[in-house]
Amino acid sequence: MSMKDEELDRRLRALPLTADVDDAIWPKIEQRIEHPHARTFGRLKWGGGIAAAVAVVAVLALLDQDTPNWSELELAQTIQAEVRAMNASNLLPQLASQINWSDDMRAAWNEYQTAIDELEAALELNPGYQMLIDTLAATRLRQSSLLNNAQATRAIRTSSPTTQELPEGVTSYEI
Amino acid sequence: MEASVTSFSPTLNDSMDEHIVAAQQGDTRSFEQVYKRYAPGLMPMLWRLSGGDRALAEDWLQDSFVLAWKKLSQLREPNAFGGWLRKLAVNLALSEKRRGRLESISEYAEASAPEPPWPAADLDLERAITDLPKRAREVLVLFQLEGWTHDEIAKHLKVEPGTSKSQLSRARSLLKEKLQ
Repeated sequence: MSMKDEELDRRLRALPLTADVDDAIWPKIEQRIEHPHARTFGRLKWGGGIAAAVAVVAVLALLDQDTPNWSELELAQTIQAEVRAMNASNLLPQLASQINWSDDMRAAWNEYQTAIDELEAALELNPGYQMLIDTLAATRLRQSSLLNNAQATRAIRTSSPTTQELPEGVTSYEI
Repeated sequence: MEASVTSFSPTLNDSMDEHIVAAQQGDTRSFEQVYKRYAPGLMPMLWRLSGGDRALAEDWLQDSFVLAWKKLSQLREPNAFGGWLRKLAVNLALSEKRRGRLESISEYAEASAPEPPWPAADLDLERAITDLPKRAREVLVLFQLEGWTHDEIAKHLKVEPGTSKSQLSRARSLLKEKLQ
C-alpha cells in the first residue's frame, strides 16, 4: 500500500533544519576573507605541485621529440590554443565526471574550476588582457593535468568512455 | 500538498544585529559570530541539495559566507540577513556557473548510501531525498523544506510554475514509492 500524503508530510516536517558544522570550515572562510587576493593561488597550492611537474614533463617531452626550435612564446601560444580549444569543446567536465576521484583531488578540481570561473568573469570585463588569458590557460592546463594524473592512477571507472566513444576528431585527452 | 513553513528565520536579537553591522564595517570577529549563528541552519539544506555530497555541501557553505562577506555592504536591514544569506546559498548551489564542478561523488560513496553529517532520526527519508533526480530534489527541498512558492522556484530555475509543480509531484511519488 502506498504511503499517504499526510504521512509523508509528517515525516518531511520532522526533518532537522539545523546541524552542527565542521569546525574546520570557519578558518578557511576567515583566510579567504582576510586574504582575498592570496586565496586563489593559496588554495591551488595542492594541485600546483603536480601541475608544475606535469607542465615540466610536457615541455621536456615536446623538446625531446624533434620539435623545431620553438621560442617560449610560440610554445605558450600553442598550449594556450590547445587549452582554449579544449575549453570550447567543454570536454573536461564530461570526462572528469567519469573518474573516481578521491575527496582531495575532487576538491582540487573544484578549486581549479572556481578559479577558471573567476578568470572567465574577469576576462569578460577585460577582454584581451594578456595576463588573464595566460593565467586562465595555465589554470586550465593544471586542471587538465589533474585529470591526467587521475587517469594515470587508473582511477577511471569501468564505465568511462573508451577511445571509440570519444567525440569525433578527438583521439586522446592527453596533454 | 502542504508546504511546511520551515524557513530558517531566527529571531535576531540586538546583539546579532550589532555583529552584522560590525561585519559590514569589516570586523571579521563579528562575522565569525554571524557565521556561528547561521551556518548550522544552512548545512542540512545544502547537503540535501547536493544529493548527499558532504564535501560539496561544505564547499557551498564556505562559498556562501565568502560571498556574503563580499556583498554585505549591499544589505540594508541587518534583520534581513538570514533570508538574504539563504538566497545567496541557494543561488550558489544551483548556479549555472557551477556547471564545470564535479557533482558526482566517489565510487565508494556511491556504493554506500550517503550519511548526513548529523544524527538523522529519519535516515531512510534523508537518503530517499538525496536519491531523487536532481531537478525533482531541488524542487522538493525548496518547496517542501524551505517554504518557497512554485512561482519563486520557477523563476529561480527558469522553468514554468507548472513544471515546478509536476517536479514536486514526481518527487513525492518517488519518495512514497521508496518509503512504503
